[in-house]
Amino acid sequence: MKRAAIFLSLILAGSLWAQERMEIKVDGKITYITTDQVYCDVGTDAGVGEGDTLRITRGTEEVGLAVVTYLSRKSCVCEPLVPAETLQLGDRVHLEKVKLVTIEEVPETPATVTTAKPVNKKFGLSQLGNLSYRYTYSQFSDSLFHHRSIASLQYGLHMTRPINTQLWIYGRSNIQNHDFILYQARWELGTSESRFHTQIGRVYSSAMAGVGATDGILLETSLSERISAGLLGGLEPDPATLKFNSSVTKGGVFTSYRFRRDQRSLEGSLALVGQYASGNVDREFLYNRFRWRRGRLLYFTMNQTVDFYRNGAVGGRKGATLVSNQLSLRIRPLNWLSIQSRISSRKQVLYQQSSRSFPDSLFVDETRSGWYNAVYFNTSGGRSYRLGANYRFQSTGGGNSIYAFLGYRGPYRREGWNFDYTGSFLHNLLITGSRNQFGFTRKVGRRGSLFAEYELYVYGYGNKLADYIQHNVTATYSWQYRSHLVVSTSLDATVDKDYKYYYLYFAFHYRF
Amino acid sequence: MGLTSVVLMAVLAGIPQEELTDIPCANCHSPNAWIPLAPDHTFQHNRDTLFPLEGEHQNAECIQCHPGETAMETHAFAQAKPECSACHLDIHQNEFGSECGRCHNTSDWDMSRWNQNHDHTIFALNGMHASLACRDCHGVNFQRLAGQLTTDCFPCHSSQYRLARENPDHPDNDNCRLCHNSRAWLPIDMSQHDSEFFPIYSGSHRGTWTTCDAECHFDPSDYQIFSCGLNGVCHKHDKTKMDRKHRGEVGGYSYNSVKCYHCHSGGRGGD
Repeated sequence: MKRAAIFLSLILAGSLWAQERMEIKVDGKITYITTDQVYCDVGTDAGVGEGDTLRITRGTEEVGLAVVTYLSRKSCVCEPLVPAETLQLGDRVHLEKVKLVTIEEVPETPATVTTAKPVNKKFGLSQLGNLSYRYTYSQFSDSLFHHRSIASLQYGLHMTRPINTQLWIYGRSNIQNHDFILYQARWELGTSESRFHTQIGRVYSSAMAGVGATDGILLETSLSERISAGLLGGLEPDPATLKFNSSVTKGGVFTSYRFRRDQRSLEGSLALVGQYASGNVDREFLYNRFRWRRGRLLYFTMNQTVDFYRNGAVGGRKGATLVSNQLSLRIRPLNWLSIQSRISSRKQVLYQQSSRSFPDSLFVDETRSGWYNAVYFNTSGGRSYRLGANYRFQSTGGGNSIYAFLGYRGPYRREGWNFDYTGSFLHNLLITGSRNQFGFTRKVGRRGSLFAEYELYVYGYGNKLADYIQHNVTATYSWQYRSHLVVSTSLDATVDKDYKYYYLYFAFHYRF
Repeated sequence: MGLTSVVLMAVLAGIPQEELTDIPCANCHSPNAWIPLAPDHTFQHNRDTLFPLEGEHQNAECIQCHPGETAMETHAFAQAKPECSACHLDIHQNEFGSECGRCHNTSDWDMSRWNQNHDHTIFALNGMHASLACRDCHGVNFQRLAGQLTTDCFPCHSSQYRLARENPDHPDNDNCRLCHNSRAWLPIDMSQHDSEFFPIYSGSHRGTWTTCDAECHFDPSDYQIFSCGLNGVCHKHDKTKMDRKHRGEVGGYSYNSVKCYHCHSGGRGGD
């Protein structure tokens, strides 16, 4: 047994010596320091690899070591093995190592803008993800309470060789109810920038966001640098649980366009989609998405859904009906002034075959509209003020509401106190009231931050202004370890003369 | 010195400044070092862009929103999309539109103070409604969205509604909020009386009554019947004088409370 081990070691050693031995010497400097990372101006071009340990010197003195955690061609990010505050910009970094290379050199990984971490260079494999857990507990006086535990996982695996392909999964579970909702699970061949792009599974594209979830296939091809077109086909998942459901089929065509010149851009997409159940029309609609940008001066967006009722009147609707409409405009005519205005309206979507329509809705044909306006002022000292009003209206029931607000935020200090205030007035179907919120954020130690707020809420029913007074205190503490782990907890207490309301929140997010 | 700095920084960037961005380099960088950014840099995201950095966005690294590996990529600021969905996955698949700020905020994506954000809707959450979970109204996976939910009490309070209909003493009225509020179903609250019927909490009638049926609604089984307290009970009018004043000028006039209300619904004599 011992002889066999020695023999095997000799064979392995022989095979290693057969490889080409290359000595690498790298010299560079620290170019950027955060609280727990240092950036250096050496990367894969110079031969640095992930996991390499760089020696840091200042003059003739060695001041520490740093392990390379992320790489690009010309720079790298390292975790220092000494406190980062002991390091300085311009400190020199050195690496000396021996690299064993095969005769056939592995080609360099193409640069990507993603922050995914490489896991295998041969196939250009990289991954990214986020694992989260959240617990909330709320108690209303002494009896009524809710609590729930939510766990979620987001995972992406990207391969660039021999083909460009990706796997995406995003799911969430309510642990108490033992349920699991799969929001995304798809395999992609190519990307939306490629000549051909295919998605299989629970397909999703931001350009097609208004089409909703689809279990099936999405095919897209670039007709030119600016225009692409595609097909979508599959099944509509159960709307309540997003579980696989074969009763409603879905098919559609879409086109996307993008034009960019200097600081101006125009992009959008148009999709025509049909949903069918038992051979009958369940829903047919058009989704329009449009974005227009002119530098920092203007940004206009439009999202619209138009439903078609070609088989006669459905719920009092005939032909084309604008079911949802959202127009948003942001302009910044002056450096210190920006204005935002948004108009939106929404009607209930009526499904003609499936049971998705809310069966006991009293307002099938009601339109809810809103008009939101806000003005932001910023001073050269970093202070910002905001002033706005939101008017909402419903076509039946005679209801409308107004919400007006005034806000102030002090200059941002990374290490100091950051104060803000928001005052608001609201009047709607039930109440008239006002909220006054005073808050601050402050960094706590190297990794923590604290947010606290006091709110005075005064309201009355009808036109009465101050029948009831509520005091609310919120405190949130977040702790972040490097860029991987974030733990946060929040306590929210509301005191009213008739009841108390407590809300406790705990969460951790692990990014990888 | 200023010109030297700009030239130096353009050289450091490796490509002409005007090809990167229209923001002068010296607004962010200093001649001492390209990075980190100058601590007293004059560029202010809140002031100089359409996207003010508030809440947790203040803690984000620049590269999270302006990704890239080359100077050209990281300085393509105009390419950064201000939409939330550019960075945050929209699990609602645009069902709520693209303005996430109506429910979420930059301090906490997890909606710990979501009931305050509900102020923006037509149905603010007060009293007992503040204790509800989202799913209580919007369903497990938000399948009942704004526009699919009514602001009417009936869909949630159907059992109370049925009991009320079966109770012969309950007024024949479908509009629950005229008498009930969101703090508690009982005792009743008539705060909507001013806007819906007649000002009793404001104006000249404020503080002049004790209970509903003591002065105005003398038949407690039917609150549609009311009295203005004519002939000295409340209003010391003289019928002869009133008749002389109104006849010939007011069509359909007669000396009774219902007719008074038709013209004086605001509670003022000059209406």
